[in-house]
Amino acid sequence: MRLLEILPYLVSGWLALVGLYGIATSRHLVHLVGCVAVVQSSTYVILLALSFQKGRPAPMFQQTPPGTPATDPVLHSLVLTDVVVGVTVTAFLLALVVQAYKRYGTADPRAITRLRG
Amino acid sequence: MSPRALRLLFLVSALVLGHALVRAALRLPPHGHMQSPYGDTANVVSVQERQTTDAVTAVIFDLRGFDTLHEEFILFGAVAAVLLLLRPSKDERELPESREEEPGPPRSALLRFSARLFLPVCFVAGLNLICHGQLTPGGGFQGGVAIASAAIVVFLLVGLGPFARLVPATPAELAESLGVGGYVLLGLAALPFGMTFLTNVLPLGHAGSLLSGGNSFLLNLAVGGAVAGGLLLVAGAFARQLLRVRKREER
Repeated sequence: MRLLEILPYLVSGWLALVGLYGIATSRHLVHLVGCVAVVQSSTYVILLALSFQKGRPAPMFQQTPPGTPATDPVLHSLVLTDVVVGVTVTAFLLALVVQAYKRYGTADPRAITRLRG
Repeated sequence: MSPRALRLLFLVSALVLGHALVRAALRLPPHGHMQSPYGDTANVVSVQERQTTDAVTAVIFDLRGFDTLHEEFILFGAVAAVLLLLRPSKDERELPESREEEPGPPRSALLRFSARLFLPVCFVAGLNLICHGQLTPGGGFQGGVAIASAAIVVFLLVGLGPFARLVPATPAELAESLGVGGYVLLGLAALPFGMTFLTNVLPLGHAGSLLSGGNSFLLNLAVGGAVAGGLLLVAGAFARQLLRVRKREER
């Protein structure tokens, strides 16, 4: 069935929408940062789903003889660098949350509506 | 806007976006039947021309090494932003190390002993991942995270104070700066020979031996240092913020 064939892409879309719902209706800044991470992981899922090719091994040629068809290494490399860089960006967002909590006395994004120095 | 109205607005927007996503997914080839000519070419080139058995590392550091330079600078910028944000501000002060206040109860002796066992093992495993990046799955990014996790495990098993003392700022800063700057310098090293930025200046060697893959060996070390140093700086900044930064009025 067509939908089963494209299931990983639909999972990625679902993750993105759930993450966006969390961001839109969040009541705590740390929860909001976690939802941003969920949206990021939806991109990892779709990149990895696109790189998979049936019956082919991983693109490592220590054991498999060089020249055998393997899965796409470019998408693997994108996910690899993205995960590590995403960790540091999440750390930056959490540092913003710490300072926002100290300035406003609350971590509720609905209460933080005006800039304060 | 009331919560119900917000949810309704989101539902409508999500239906529109979801409809577009499903329509796009229906036009993709079935899962497992993707055609990727660039990937097939990269697999062949990375072993035959670049002498790297790990095609992913060859793509990251050799075939698309310029993009990885940009990723490293994103990391560098995010770390700098965290360090800027978590400094004591005008109305705060930083307690001296002897007067830092540790939140939570102290850990048991078994946990602290396990940290002593685990820390060097994890550190060496991280170095192994970094150095063998061009041979097996691994490389600078993963190994750097493993090394930083070795120190963060100390936070989990021993406590915040010993963790903040384990990661003094200077070695971490040095590792991070050398990593990011070293990547650029290694790229520039090709220019005096008349080649373009980031061309391999080191010999390519034989696929499967440790010193293979041209630049990617040193680039792996540079990125490993940058990632480990950056994550340790970030974690240390958070730890110091919790332990030592207090408002000036408090006694």
